[in-house]
Amino acid sequence: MAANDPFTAPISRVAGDAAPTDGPVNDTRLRGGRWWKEVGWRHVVGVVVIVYCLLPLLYVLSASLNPNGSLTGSNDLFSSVSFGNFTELFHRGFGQWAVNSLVICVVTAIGTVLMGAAAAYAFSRYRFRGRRGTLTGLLLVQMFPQMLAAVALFLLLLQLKDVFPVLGLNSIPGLIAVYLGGALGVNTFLLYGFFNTVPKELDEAARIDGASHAQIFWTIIMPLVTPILVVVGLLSFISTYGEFFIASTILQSNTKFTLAIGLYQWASDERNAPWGLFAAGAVLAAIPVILLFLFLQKYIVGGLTSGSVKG
Amino acid sequence: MTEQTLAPTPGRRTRRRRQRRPRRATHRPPRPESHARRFSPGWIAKLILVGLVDALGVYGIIAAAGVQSWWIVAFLAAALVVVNWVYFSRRAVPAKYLVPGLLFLLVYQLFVMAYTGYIAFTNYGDGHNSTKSDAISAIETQNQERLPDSAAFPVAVVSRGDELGFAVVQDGKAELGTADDRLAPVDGATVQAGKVTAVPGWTVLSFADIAGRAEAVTALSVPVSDDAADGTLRTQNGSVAYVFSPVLQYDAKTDTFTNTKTGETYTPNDRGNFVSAKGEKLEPGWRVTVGWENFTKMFTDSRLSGIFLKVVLWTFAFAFLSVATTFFFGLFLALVFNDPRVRGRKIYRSLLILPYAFPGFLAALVWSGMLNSKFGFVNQVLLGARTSTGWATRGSRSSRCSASTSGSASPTCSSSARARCSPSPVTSWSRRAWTARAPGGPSGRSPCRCSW
Repeated sequence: MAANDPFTAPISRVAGDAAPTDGPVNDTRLRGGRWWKEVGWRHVVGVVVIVYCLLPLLYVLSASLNPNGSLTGSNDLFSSVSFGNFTELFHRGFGQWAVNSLVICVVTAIGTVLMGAAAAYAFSRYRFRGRRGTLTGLLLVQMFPQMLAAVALFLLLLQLKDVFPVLGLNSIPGLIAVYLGGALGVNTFLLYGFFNTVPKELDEAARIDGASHAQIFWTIIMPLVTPILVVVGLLSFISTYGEFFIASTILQSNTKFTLAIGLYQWASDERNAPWGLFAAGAVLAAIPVILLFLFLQKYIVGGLTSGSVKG
Repeated sequence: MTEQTLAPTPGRRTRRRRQRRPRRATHRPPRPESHARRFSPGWIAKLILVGLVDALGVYGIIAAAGVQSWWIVAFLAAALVVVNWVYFSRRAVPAKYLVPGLLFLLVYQLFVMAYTGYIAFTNYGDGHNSTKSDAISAIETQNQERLPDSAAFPVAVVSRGDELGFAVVQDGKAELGTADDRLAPVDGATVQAGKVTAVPGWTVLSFADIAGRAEAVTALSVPVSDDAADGTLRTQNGSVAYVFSPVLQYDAKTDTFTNTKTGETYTPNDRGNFVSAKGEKLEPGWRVTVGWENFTKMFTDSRLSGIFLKVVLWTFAFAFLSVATTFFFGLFLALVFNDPRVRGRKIYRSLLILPYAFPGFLAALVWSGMLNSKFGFVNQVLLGARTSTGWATRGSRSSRCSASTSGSASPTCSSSARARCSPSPVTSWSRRAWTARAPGGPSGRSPCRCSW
């Protein structure tokens, strides 16, 4: 903290800022070997890491613009530029996949936030029999990833298909329901920690004024915990967006695919190798998540550092 | 609302009584008797939502009873009772907030966990997919032979969407049946020269259509009656159908199959198959519990044990390495950029967060392409195509790729042949570098005071 803050680190700051006007006598800026030793190498590290970070992104951008849509053809970065791949995408069902993905992710995120917040409210504000047991149980349950139960999920949905066709195999609501099953385990603790930081006196004051428990929840607690709700919603959105295994077990027909399944199918198709198509799809598929990050960045960093669980 | 407790402890009860006394002394208006008398918007919303859940549940009970899924019936009935009690009772306030999440958790997490455990003790798999009764009817319909003196029916192949059916004329009346529904008379069908030419609601397939779906048409067998022993109608050419009868006849009394031609009997064994005295097996079988066999097989079967051990070790190594490397590398980067003398730290940091914003599954797939041993960017461009390092060859699951790119090509390094699509460590260290850089974070919120 100290080194970051201009007010608590005056020496280095003054040395850096005041030097040019004061002439050579007071110039304490580091030079030559010492500069390299203390500051310069940091730039080298920075540049190397950023190249490592950006190379895949530049590569995929170049591949998406490359009309010669094979792996080998994509190796000369930005050798030729056309938007053919992007228009071709939408003849191959990409639009439908994107809609499916967005619907699944938005509904799952909203459901996760609501159910998680409600559970956290109960755990944080009420004392009831079995509270500790349920909390511990949740902690244990979340250690078992739903992904491992894919076979059982498949069989369960096969059975459910006869009863609720909407929740059965190869149906988007069915997949959403599966995702919501994993909603409580992962997020309750993140939310619970944050809920505990909201003073209980606020609820008590509201209760004295005659607010019901539902009014306290919706009008007092929920607005105060918005940062963590945003974080949970975002984390849920992103993990659902990239979830491949369960989605590919449950969704079977091309029109029901999510982006993750569809793009995986292209990327792993070695015979036709529609690499350019995949790259174009990847560029477009990344946009919603990048936009979310851009707009919600302040919540993400704030929420992650102030909840009890660090991302 | 007074203090909410599901089961107040004795001490709490006395406290509550003490609290209430002064309240009675003040002249507060009496609290309303029931929520049901206050028609607040919230209450109406609750009524509608619970009503919807009830409607869905009752529908589910009826549907599940129709297909005789008694477990689902029992679960739905219990769930409905719980939901209605929780939401219309004045007590159990915490439960009102917990029930929705817990219901989903129960079905899609706890149940499937238990079910996974159960499946581990069964021989579920190819040839043992379903129940015994399903296996019996499958054996009956698959082992058929044309009755020697059966009549030939001029048949019309009809379709409705994906469903195929046969329409025939029997005793001057048009009848229609599908694989699932036995032959039954249909009204309004047009019959010309002993052959059905039109059925309302169905399309009669032309010869070209039949040729296009030849495989489905020849595979279709329509039960003649509810009794599978009466045989089924099948066609080889799409124009004439014959009655086929089962070669293998099931006898429910002795629980055996008998081959009507050879007289061989097949009895069920404890492996979920009908077998003859000679050891001949009938397929398909059904699912039975096999005890610890799957577990012992995993260690003793040489085809599995080697791979299994490797995968287990690698999974642990992968988990440990990806946590350790991302943590230390992230910490290192945080320290590197924590020096105010470094110009352009903001730019470095904003660029570092980019891979985190790029969805993990896409990063994984992009890396798997870049690391492709023959055509990938890394071997072709960075290493100049001189070496042929098998970074990400699907067959040889080399661990070098993850060691050298700190596991960023996660699909190639995971245990399963399919992409794991976990957020790649590259993204997680960039995030860690971001969150670890300063206590409190940029929003200035104080570090968390709470603990659970």
